[in-house]
Amino acid sequence: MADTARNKLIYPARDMRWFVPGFWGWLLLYAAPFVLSLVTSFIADSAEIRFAGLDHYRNLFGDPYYLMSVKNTALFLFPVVLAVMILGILTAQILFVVPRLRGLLAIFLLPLFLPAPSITAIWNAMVGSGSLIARLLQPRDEQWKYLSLFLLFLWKNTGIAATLYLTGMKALDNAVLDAARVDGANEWAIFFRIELPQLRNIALITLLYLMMNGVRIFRESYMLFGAYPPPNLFFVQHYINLGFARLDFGLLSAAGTIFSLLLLLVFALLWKQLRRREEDAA
Amino acid sequence: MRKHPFSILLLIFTVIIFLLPLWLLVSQALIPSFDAMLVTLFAEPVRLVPVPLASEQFHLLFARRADLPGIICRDTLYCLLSSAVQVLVSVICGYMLAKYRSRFTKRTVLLYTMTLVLPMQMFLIPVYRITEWVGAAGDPLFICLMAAFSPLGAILMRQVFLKMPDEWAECFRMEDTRMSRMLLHIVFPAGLPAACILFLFSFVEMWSMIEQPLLLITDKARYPLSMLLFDMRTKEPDVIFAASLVALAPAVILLLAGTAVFVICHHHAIRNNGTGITEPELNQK
Repeated sequence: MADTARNKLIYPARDMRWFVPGFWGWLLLYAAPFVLSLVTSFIADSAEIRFAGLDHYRNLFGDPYYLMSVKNTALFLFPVVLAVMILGILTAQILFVVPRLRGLLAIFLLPLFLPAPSITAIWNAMVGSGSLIARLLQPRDEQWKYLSLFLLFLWKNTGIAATLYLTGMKALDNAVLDAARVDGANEWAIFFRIELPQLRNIALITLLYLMMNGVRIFRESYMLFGAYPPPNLFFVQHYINLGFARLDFGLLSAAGTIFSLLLLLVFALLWKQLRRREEDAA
Repeated sequence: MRKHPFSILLLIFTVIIFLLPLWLLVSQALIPSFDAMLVTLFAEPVRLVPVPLASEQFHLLFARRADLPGIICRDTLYCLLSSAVQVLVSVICGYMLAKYRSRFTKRTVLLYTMTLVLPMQMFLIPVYRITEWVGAAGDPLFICLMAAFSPLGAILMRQVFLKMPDEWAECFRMEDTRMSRMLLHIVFPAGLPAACILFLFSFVEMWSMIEQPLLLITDKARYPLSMLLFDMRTKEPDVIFAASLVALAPAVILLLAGTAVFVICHHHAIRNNGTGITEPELNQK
């Protein structure tokens, strides 16, 4: 009770007027367009407004290209996020055990701050389907392109994943780790038995962040393979971009809505887990 | 260190792999334009060392694209402006969302985070139609505005301010009740290291944008550098590496400057917590 009164004194409600410009900006440029997109997905024609019910959704579920794009997005997103999470935690573990090397983290973080358009030309020359390494290995073209995009995501995001994990590792109770060392446990046993179980919260935050970045991989994909990528890299964003020229906003909004709902479902599950763990910890 | 030789070797190998693309880009930008074209179009192996060394690609690039410095300056200005607004908005919103705990702020945090995970196209289609209605279709300033109010900054800054002790605000409130002074003297200094990172993030994010100009800008003359580079890959493959390096320059300069500011701010923040009072003095009190 006293705490609430103290809080109201330090943080009075009248200060919230400072929040208004930022909130309105977000409301007008993000929240309102999202709602508008949702509404448009139930409207038949962009010229004359007519309720179309679930027509657009039915059409989408009958469109093999859309189904393929959803499948491809999922088939790219999940393995790549998993790979970054594993590589990130291994990097963080080495840096945690050898503190002198922590300065190297800056190098791992560097790709995140390099603009994608500047990197894609050299990436294509290095690991593109016409590169020396691809000619030596002679893989199937579309598989190699998938791998090329996969590696680019890995290169860009391992640093941030390692940073998040390392932050979590630094917050671990040293007494517990020291006690395990005194009992004769080696670093890997400590890692798997003590550190990993305590890093679940950080892992969920990392997963959330990587999912968010994974959805944005369209940017790199577009820079590498253009508007018409190989079939296995045809993502939902490609479908929407190509459909934009037809000006069928209802159908495109429905396409975006289904994809968004799938992402929000994953997000809700992660969020719920995170909240539950925070409450358990409290 | 002797205990983990394999891990350390693996890490150093990974570091080399991580730096390799950047080195190769510099190396390819410094070879003759004909060789660069062979690398881009005819799958010639990339050169680990720029032999023969030549600045021909840069000369050709600026001779053909006299408008390039103008485009770089314009884009840099847009990105700097948009990032500055984003930092300003995010610091204030992040602080409010972290400290002013109510049902409204809790729900707003959830909604902000939800909009973060959605694909950009979900917002761009309606925004395109809105710009058409208001007669601002194809205006890059609208894209800057969208970037400036991105929810990512507010969520990031909220995480930073969650750890800020309530006592700082309490101390300040005893002497001054004005929020503007509190933001200036407590909130901004405390959030400065994180704000530097956010500024860099925001700048690079805008510098690399593809989705927004693809859908919102109809006039090719107004395309940002990122779209120009995409066009050049097929039309001017002999100078693409030089163009990529030139496009990288503003981001790298800002990254170096940002890192320096971050380090200084971080040390300053550790020494006096942004309050002007050093840690030992604070403990004594």
